[in-house]
Amino acid sequence: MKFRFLLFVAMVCLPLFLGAQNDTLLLYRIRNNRSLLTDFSRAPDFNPAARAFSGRSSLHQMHIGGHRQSGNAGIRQQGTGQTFFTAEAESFIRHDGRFIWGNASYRNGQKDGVEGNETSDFSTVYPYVMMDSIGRNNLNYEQYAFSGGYAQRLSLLSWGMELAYRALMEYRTQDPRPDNIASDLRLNGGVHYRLFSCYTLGAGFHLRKYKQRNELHFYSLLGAPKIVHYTGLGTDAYMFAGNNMRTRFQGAARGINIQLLPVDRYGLSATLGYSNFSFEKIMSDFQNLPIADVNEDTYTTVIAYLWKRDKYHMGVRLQTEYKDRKGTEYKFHSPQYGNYDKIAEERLFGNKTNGGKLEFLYENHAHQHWVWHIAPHALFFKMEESHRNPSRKMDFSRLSAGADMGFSKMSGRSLWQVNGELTYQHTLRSTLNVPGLKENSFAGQLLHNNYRYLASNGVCSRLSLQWDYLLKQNRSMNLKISWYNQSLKKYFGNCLTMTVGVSF
Amino acid sequence: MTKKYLFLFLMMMVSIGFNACQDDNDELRTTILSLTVQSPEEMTDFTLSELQAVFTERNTGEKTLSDPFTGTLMILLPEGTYDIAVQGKISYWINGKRQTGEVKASKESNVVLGEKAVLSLPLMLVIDHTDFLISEIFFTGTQTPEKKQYNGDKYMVIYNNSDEVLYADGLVIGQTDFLTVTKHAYRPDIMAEAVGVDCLIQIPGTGKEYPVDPGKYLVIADNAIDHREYNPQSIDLNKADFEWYSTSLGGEVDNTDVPNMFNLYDRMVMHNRGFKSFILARIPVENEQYLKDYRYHYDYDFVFNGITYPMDGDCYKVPNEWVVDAVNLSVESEFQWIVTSPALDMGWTSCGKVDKDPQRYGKSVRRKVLATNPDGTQKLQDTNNSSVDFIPDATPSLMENK
Amino acid sequence: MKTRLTLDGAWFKTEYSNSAPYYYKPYQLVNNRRIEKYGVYQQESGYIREELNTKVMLDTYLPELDMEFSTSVQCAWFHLSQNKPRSETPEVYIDTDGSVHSYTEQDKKDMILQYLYTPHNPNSFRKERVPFGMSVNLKASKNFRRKVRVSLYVNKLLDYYPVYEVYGAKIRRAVDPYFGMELNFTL
Repeated sequence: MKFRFLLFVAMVCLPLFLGAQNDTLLLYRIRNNRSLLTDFSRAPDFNPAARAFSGRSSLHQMHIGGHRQSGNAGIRQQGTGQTFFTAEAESFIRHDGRFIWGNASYRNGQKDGVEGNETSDFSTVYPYVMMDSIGRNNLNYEQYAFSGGYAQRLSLLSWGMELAYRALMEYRTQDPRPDNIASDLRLNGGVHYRLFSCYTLGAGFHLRKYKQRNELHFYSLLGAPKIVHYTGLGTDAYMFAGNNMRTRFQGAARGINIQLLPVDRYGLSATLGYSNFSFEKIMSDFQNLPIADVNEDTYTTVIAYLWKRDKYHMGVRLQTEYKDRKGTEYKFHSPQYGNYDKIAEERLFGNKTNGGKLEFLYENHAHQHWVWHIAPHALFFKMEESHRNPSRKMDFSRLSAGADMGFSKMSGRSLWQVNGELTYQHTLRSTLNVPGLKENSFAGQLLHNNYRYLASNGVCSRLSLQWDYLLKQNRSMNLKISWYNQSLKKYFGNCLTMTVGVSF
Repeated sequence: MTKKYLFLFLMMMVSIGFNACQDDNDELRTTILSLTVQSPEEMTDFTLSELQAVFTERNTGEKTLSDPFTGTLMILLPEGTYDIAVQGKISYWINGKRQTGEVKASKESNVVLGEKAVLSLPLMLVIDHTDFLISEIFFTGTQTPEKKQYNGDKYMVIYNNSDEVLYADGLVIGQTDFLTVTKHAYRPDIMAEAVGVDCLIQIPGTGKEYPVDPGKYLVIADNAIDHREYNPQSIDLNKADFEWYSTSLGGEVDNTDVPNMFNLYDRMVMHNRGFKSFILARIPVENEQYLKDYRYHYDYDFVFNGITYPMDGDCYKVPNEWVVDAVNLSVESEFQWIVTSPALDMGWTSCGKVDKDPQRYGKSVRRKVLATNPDGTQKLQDTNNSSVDFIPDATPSLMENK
Repeated sequence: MKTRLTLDGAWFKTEYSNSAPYYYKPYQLVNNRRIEKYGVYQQESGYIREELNTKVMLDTYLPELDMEFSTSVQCAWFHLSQNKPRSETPEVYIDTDGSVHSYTEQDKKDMILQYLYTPHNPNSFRKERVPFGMSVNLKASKNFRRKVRVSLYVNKLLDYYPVYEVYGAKIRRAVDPYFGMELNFTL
């Protein structure tokens, strides 16, 4: 019963039955929800019961827009440019100790510059992707995402549940033609128990089921070139190279977290989370034979402290994440065509990332209609990728520092917001050691390109402008333009997004 | 006060979290393999020398060459499935005379697992025939300018690599029934004694009608016409010595000036992706008797995509002693096994690198030239191993003269 | 809590075979000539197939929201298949001049007539069984004043198809999810 109730809240673009909104002016609610102070602890990302202590206001928003990205910055397998159209709706309702939220989005676009990869969701299933040496542009995709959650705050206990579903289709209308469908279902749940007068202790869980069907076709009458199955750092599964173009991925994740939260947002908050994601890469043509699997452990911590004095708020937040991905390849004996018996397995691939981000936030509310903030941050990130046979390694570590600034002004029926961010990234150390891989081979130049991009120094900047205009007492329209730029040595990227929407 | 303790506790958890995982520095799993070669059965008084083994691991494609050994080899290999090929020399006494020869052994898909493994392979003595050789097979066909397949221009070249005049009368060309890219457990498995063929075409003649001088050759074509009329990228086969023809196949043209091959069994349709092998043989019995006594019926179970297909088939078998030359063809990404005994041909050659490779058209496999004689004729290489005897993806010889 | 439970299913059993003898002429070329003989066989390839499927649907209607939620669980309980035995030797064979001859044991050794003897792999007539498999489909719909209806459905997202063995070969099964949206207008 609760399951279907949650599904309902996922259909957000609907008139809502909990009619009475918070009486505060609509523009104040909009400004409040966009502020960096709201959910500064990031607690609801882990435990849905934490929404019961969120400072977020009730708000419904819908917008449509377009996005264009160009340049040559990016991991080659993910592409360097894209254009898409998006339609999104978001809702948050708080009433009488009950909290309901939902989100629905649709995206339709085209990716460019995707090289050496005909599999979707590269960041989820790497390195076991299907690799070809042709495809670059015109990768079309459609993505649907729905999510919904419910939380309830009782006198001592609070609980919450959230369900999210994402479906992605990628295809191309010229050779090589991938036909990929990815399906991602996530379930979060948790409870909070009032421990002291102003703190609550929570525990949450996280479950995920991931499936992808990844098939490649060639319509050319003369045949198809060689397709390989990538296994990281320029290596591939030799036994399955050739014309095996039908694969699938099946995976699941499970995680737990514990949390400490202040009841009224100000104070210390801390979250410790652990999750494990594992999946198998399966060749559909050989009785759905798994040929490799990945096991990834992620340890996350978020510690934040938020306080306020008369007219200003201050916060400090430390986030760390340690991810350890291990890939295992299987060895086979084929007594007969089409039949493979697994005889051994070897853990050959590893990717460890370690990162920490420290942020300060200062937000000034001296004037009712003028609010400004400044948030400097420093980030440390390290990645080590390795393969054991042949023995190859790629690693780098980088330090970034920057600041985010913004101000918003309310005048009459309008709310204006301008935000800017500038970050400088500097590589501390980087090495690429790939014996046996020729730099001018296809896989070699792809790897060297990615390495140079990841180990580049440079500047990232972002600028956005938003205007909300109150139409009636509880309706407003919104226009947003944002621009993002990445300027690294030899790599650059530009993104431009424009959206129009309504809020109520 | 409680807040401070909480904070410290959390910082401790964070630092533990950072150092939670340790590196696993396990070594890659290896096995000590003990490989023994069994001498040929007929031999009693012999010595083996210069034995060397090549191990090709099926999962990674890695090749390992062993040190020379005599009798038993101990070698450290990573776990996996190996194709093993052994070559060496043998010196033996027969009828009071000392002879030297070559020995070979070959077996595919051997599982090597665990701490220790033991394998043994039977050695075969290489028997040299003084007869014709297959020197070129053009099986891929050509491409038209509109990028379509053109199949009518296939041919094979039979070469006299010996020093005497040979007669081609009665020589038989066969294409194997089994494919080098699909390995099945055929019942009964006769590959050690004979080759299963899906067609046999025979050069006509009473015995001395078709002499071929040393260093000269015969071209046997599918259709002996000038194909350039229909496909400018094709070849002129008007001058072929023989052609194979049957009335029941569409698209066949009979050039009455060129003698036809005798269809001993079924029709020759060369596999255009190079998945079937070819043999050259001489049948010592009468045709009628051969067709009566040498049929080969087999069955096997084929499991594909979750369904079992119990299959059976019929073809003809040519005993290995009658086979004069054999060439295995396959493709690197699909190769599973050779479909002749390793004693006839231990390796394979190819056009193209993958199944349905668009680059394979207009290419053939050609035997390598060992030496050129003073009179201009050539001696071709024949070590009964097509992997080294042939040039893959070669320009067809009949296209070179255009 | 208005919920409707619907259960439906079907059981099929099909048997297929020939009722009159069939003719077969071998297609091979032998000794440069076609085989001009027709064999007459009693049993052609026939089969027996059996299958049981069920579907359980739970439809919940929430009148205050004018929304419907459907969960359906589809089960394929088993699928049995077996080929019926086929004739290996013909009863009689017919020549080009129309004369009918019986087929004897001696004929199996004749150069041409041996082609009329068609032995089959004995494993062709084994019983094969595909075991249980289940998938779950979800659908949510919203009505707007009985004029417009919007639905979202996701099929086969959750499934259970265990691995099974068929005479020594391990068979793994996988299903791909299927999702979409529906829009219905009442005019």
